Order: sequence, then C-alpha cells, then structure tokens
Amino acid sequence: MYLPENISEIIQLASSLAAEEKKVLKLLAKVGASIPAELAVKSFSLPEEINKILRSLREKELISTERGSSSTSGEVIYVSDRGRVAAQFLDEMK
Amino acid sequence: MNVVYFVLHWLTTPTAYPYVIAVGISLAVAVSEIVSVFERDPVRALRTAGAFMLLVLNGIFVVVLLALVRYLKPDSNPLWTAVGVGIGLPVLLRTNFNLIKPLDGSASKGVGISFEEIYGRLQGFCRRRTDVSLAAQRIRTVDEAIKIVELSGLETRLRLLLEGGLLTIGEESQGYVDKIIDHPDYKDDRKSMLLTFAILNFGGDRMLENMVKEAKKGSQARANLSARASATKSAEKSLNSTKTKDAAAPVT
Repeated sequence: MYLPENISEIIQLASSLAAEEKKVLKLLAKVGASIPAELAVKSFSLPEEINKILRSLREKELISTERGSSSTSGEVIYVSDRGRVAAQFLDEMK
Repeated sequence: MNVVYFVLHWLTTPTAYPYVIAVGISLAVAVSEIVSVFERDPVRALRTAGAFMLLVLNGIFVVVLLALVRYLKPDSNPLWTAVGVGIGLPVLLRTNFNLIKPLDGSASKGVGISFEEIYGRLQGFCRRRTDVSLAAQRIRTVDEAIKIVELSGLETRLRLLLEGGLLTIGEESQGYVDKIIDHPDYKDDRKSMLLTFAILNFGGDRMLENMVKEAKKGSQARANLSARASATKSAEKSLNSTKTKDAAAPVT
C-alpha cells in the first residue's frame, strides 16, 4: 500500500477524532466507496445526521468525494490515503 | 479490420505464445487484485471502465517488458522468460528502487524510483473510476425500485430483514425503520429512497431486483385486468345501445 509520509501526524489526528467520526471513518474504510445516503443507512442513521460528520472528515482530508460522470450518479465518498492510515490505526487500537 | 486480422494472424505464430503466457499471468494477478478489493460485487466491478483500464495497462506493461527482455536476450528460453516476466512484473510494480540512500541522521531523502507509488496512484485512479461506476449502477437500481415498488412493500421487506431475525445485526438496527417512516419532515419518496438503500445494503441487489420484478408483474397484471374490465364495459355499453336502437326502431 502506498503510504503518505506524515504518518505520526495522521495518527495524532485519528486519536483526536470524535467517537462518531471514528465510527464513520472505520465503516467507510470497511465498506469501500459509498453514496452519503448509503453510508447513513449502513450506520443506521439519517442522511442529515451523517452529513455533518462527513463534512468534518473531509475538512480533515481523511475522506474525499467525487461526483459521478453520469446524470444518475451522485457524490461518491471514499477514504483518502490519509484516511486509510487513520482507519487502520483505529482498527488496531480497538 | 486489418489490425484485428493482423493480431489474430500473429497469435497463430510461434512468436506469440510467450506474450500470451505473460499477459495471461499478468491479467490473472490484476483480476485477483480487483476481485479482492470489490469482493461484494466482483463481476460488476470487472465490467467497469476502471477495471478494464487497469487490465489493459497491465497487459501493455507486460508486453513491453517481455519485448525488452527478448530484445536484450534473444537466445533465452521463451517459455521461462514469459513466466518470469509475467510473475516478475507485479513484483517490479510494487518495488521502490533507492539509487542513493543517505546515511542515518541525514536530512536529505535520497534519490530513487518508486514504482510502488506510481502504480499505487494508477490503481487508486482505476479504483475510483470503478467505485463511481458501481455507485451509479446502485443509484439506477434504487431509482427504478422507487418508481415501481410501493412504500408499504419496501417497509414490510425491510422490517422482515432487520426485525424478523433474518440477519445477525446488533441492537442498533432496532427502531431504524420507524425512525425513517415516522420522520415528520420526510415525504414518501425520501422514505422510499432510504428504505430501498437499506434493502439493497442488507438484502443485496438480488433481493431488490426480485422485488422490482414482482412489482412489475403485479402492475402488468393490474393493467391487463383494468384493460379487460374497460373492454367488457365498452362491449356492454355498445350492446345496450344496440338494444336501445332496436327497441326504438319502428316495426315495419
């Protein structure tokens, strides 16, 4: 796996995440790229509940989003390289 | 057409078989990479443009590498060279070559070629393309289901899945269907969308596709029934009008 260089900084960031953020990041790393509504359903929450957490994770560059090319596809969220390292660390800390 | 003919003709010549072997090994490794990442839906993932791009690039890399090796060492055994290149390419693509490694404690990073990083970025790009394509397919499935399956049908099926003991899900699933259905601000289409995503997630695409098929059959049957009823009605009407005309007609 390609690893970003500043691993210690990412680990610090992962430790400082809120419980809900940790849960969503680990879930996204486990299930792979998802649409926000799908991710809400997977975590038994509502879209508006999860959107706030996703925005925060995106600001911390732990997740990235991409808009689909076709008219039917919405925004796809996936874990960034930094997020993958953070999720792996959180999994090992369990 | 000429290119296809040339390739097919070339494949029948003895010079082609090392390339076929090497490409076969390389593609097998690339397919296993895709399948291991998209293990929930490997067949659909392999059909996407992202997966196709990764497979084609792996094929091109191995052909170029084998051609180079054969050019540099023309007397090598073609079979073992092909096997070596086929197995060696995936290893090569995941390798970092350090040309200059600074002494411990040095601030400089050294000089090297990171094939791993380059290939990792390429893989990441292809994976994102595949993710986006699969997400678009899921949205299309949900979109179709929302139009055809009724809200009550979706609710019943999801309750059966989450509350009927069909899945080994924790207590967090309790009350989730009610949370969606009883939401004061949600309209029916939003409720349907969330319930459909939940069925797709917990029941799988086969279950949702079957629900859509059943709903289509049901609506087709209803349409046939209503067409038959309206045909009977119009036949009765025309019979009645004929009778009325007959009764009104003067007897001669």
